[in-house]
Amino acid sequence: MRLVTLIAVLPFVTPWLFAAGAAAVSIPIVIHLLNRRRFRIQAWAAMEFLLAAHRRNVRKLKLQRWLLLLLRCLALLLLAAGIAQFLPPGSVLGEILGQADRLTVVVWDNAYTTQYRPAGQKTIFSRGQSLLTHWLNRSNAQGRVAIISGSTNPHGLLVTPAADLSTVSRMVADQKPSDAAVDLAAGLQRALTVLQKQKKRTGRKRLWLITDDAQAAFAPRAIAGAVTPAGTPQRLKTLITEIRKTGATVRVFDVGDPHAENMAITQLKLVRHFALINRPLRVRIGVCNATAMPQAQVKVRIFLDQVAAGSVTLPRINPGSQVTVDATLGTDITVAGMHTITAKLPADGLLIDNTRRLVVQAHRRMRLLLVDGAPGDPMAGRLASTAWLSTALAPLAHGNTFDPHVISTIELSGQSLRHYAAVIFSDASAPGPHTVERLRAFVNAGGLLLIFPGPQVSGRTWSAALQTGRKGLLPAVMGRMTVPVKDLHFNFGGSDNAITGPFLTARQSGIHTGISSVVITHYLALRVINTDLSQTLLSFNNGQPALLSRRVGRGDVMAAAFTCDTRWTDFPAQPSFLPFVYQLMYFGIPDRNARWNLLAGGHFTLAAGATDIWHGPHGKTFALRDQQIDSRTVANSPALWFTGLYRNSTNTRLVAVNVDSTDADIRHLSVSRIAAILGLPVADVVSAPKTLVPQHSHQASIGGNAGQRLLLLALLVLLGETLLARAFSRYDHKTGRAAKAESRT
Amino acid sequence: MTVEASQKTDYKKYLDPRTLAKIAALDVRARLIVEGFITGMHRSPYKGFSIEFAQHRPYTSGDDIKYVDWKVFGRTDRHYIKQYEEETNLQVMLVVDASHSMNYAGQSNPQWRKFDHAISIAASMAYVAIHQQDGAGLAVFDQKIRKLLRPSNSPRHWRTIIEELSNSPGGPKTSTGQVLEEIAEEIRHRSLFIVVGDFFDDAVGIIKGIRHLRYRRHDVIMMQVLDHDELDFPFRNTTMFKGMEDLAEVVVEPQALREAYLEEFQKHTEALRTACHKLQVDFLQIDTSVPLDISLPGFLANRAARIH
Repeated sequence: MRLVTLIAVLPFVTPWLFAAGAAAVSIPIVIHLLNRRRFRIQAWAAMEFLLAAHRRNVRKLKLQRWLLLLLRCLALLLLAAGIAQFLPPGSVLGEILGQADRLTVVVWDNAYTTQYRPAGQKTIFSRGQSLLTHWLNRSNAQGRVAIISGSTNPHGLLVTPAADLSTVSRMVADQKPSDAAVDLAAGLQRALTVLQKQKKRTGRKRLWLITDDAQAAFAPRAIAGAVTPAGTPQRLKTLITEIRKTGATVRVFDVGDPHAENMAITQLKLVRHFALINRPLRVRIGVCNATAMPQAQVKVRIFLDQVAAGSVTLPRINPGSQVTVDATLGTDITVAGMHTITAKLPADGLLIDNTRRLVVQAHRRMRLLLVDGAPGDPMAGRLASTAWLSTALAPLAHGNTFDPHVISTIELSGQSLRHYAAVIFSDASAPGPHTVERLRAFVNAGGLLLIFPGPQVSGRTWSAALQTGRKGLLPAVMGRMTVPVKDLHFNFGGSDNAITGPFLTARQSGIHTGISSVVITHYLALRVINTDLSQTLLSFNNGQPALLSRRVGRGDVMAAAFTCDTRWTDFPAQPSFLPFVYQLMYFGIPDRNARWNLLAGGHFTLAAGATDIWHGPHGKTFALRDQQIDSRTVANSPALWFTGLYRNSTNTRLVAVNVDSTDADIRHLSVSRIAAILGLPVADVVSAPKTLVPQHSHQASIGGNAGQRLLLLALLVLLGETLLARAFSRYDHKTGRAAKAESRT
Repeated sequence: MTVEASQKTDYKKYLDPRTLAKIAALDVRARLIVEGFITGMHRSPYKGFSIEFAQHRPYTSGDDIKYVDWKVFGRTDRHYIKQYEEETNLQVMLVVDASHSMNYAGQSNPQWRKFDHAISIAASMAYVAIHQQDGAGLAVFDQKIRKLLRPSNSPRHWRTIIEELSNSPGGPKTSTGQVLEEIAEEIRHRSLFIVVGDFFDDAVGIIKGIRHLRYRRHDVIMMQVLDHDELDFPFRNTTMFKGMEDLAEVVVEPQALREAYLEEFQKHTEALRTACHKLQVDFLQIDTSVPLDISLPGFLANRAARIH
């Protein structure tokens, strides 16, 4: 029981090692006991003196014997431990002899930025690879090694320390650079976990960080659109401090190019949230200049389905900045379905971010579902809200952008929502619980739910049905119809929040839209409960919200305080109503293409049961697997770590994977700057290393120092034991009573 | 070869000519009151064999028959010796320890026991005493006196002494002090007592015995015969020491205990030496590894020098 307790208290002692150690330590004890049993017999005359001496010294002799025994055991242990340092790591004998483990944890920045190839040289990734394989192949390299990714892709490397260095070397040699983003903080965190898990007896721990010292990896994000959880400098410094607390030494190897520069496409998206066939398609392109010089006349070529579709030229981009430009493709999409838009920059040292792909799903028209709360109302007639909305959304006989489908509230329960981009309630009563759940699923999947009030609307019922909390759908509590003291107008000159709606950018830019002259005589009071959940897109000039939005899942829910008929306002009769409704739909309908455009490491989902085989770059194929995500069963893809296009076997679906543009700035940081960020001495940041460990220090560090020191210590203990034994055998020769008596004489 | 092993006594064994030659050249002198320091130098208050008659005494074994008073025999039919007032010679009483502890033989010479050394000394001293017309007696003891030969200067008496020494039965324990007291009561004639043994018993008792002898105005020489092992304790490996006089046994690492043992031993010896010094008794420690012709003549020469 006590043994078990002891083993539990000493976590570094495995039962096997404990038994081996106990056996080793028992050797001198056994010898001692054997010696005590193996004695010669001597008849002795002067026995009374011997007995008197023994009686007088028996306690002291026992103490001396134990001390000598202890020293012998200690010497044996030290000797064994010292010898163990020169044995191959992981060998049984080494373990038995208490071989101190040596652990090297390498955080290897294998992000896509390491694919940078300086002119006439090998890539940054290859530099790190060569250093590692060279070190691992050296005959005197010993200990265990863990190699951890310094990118967002944690796979493919060696998180569990391994002692078979030749296998590790082969694994490193087979590595390809990842298309993932740099994430040194995550790599260091994983390294910290590995180091903290090591047994206390681990002799020497060290962390090597092999990185290209790119600005993006260390500096706070200077480029818009950062989405990766890359570490801030403070986070990196904290991690390094924590790692050093584990007893590990830290070294940073800067394998980057001091003159690295890069031009990258950092953004490619539709200006509007959806694409229609036979309509001009506008895209927004962002270009980053990560060079030391301003770049002028930067030409970006655009392709639609691999066919050139025009180009755009950016007149000037300053160093370290990003410029966005909107461009209209020279070719329209003529077939509904999924298409690829590609933007390309001229090639430079880092090719992977010179190209960016965008997958769009082109529609013939955007189908909208209008739920009419007063169908067939003879009093409503042409003044009904739904009629105004329907007319505004589809003013033409043919070729409309939107295809509104009007149904009554009663028909809603039996209506499938999956083919519609938006469901618009117009003066309709609150839906029942079942319909609410269907609406929730519709919004979560990326639909727009828009609620216009009217005389038939009870704000309390709507609020009770859709709820406003975090699990609810409404952006605000809907109140009663309110009659203002004076006529209201839409307010555009108030707080900044009042005009944040993207569909009002034209008005924000000072373009006259006529909206400002709209008169509102009645409105539904909307009371915002949680400002974090809702966004005010439009407000009245009395400060009350006129239009609120809330993000739910991949979709949006909007609630208006004004009606779309002429009983509460003259807005539908104003010329600005039609463009307002269009803008509301263009930007209110969520971007449904986002799910097909991923960053490296992302994954997509389809409806459960989608078992197509997918084909990706480098000949990769995979199948979706049904999984439970957010209590729904969906067909989930694996993480897609390679950039490029992925398509299903029927070519009906496309997915584009791009690099994280956050890392575009690969300009090189100085050694002193890196040292300052990480809180390390400058000497611990090695720039352009030829080798990871110099030959002389390598020999000293692996097996050398510790082994020699232990052997030396063992010899010192043995010497001490000998001297003590001699001193004990010359009992009281100088200080004992006899000697004193002699000196008195 | 032990004494017991040799039933036929080899006298030469105990009388190394070289040793005896050196001792013979020296005078064995009593230091204080013992008469017969040198023949003719003092008148003895005791009765001896001389011209002037002093008294009769019963005949005892070993007396020369020429001193038998035949007239008295004729009258009384008993043998009486005539004693005359004359200058007497020294009477030497050799008191030899024959206990088991004296049987110890060292590692360097296992055939040579302390007892062998002791009887060599006794024989030498008896030879010297008898050859200079002094009387020599013998007492062999362990816990008590086992043999007692009164002093005589007959040349044949020396052989008797040798025979007694050679055939001395040894007892398991020693009681030197008690024995000395007994002898002091037994031997009234002032004598030179040469006590030969290892004195491995109670120091207080030994000193008491010596004091008793001194009280009887005897001159005393204490000769402590020790093996070199007992003086140096040279053992190295773990050893079980078994007492030779029924003492307990103990397993020790000799090297660790050596100094403590030597200290205890030294303490005992010093006690004896100091007491002897106070009682004007010569104390001589004899190492059996040192030849007799080296140890004895030096001591006796030193003693003679002090007396003169």
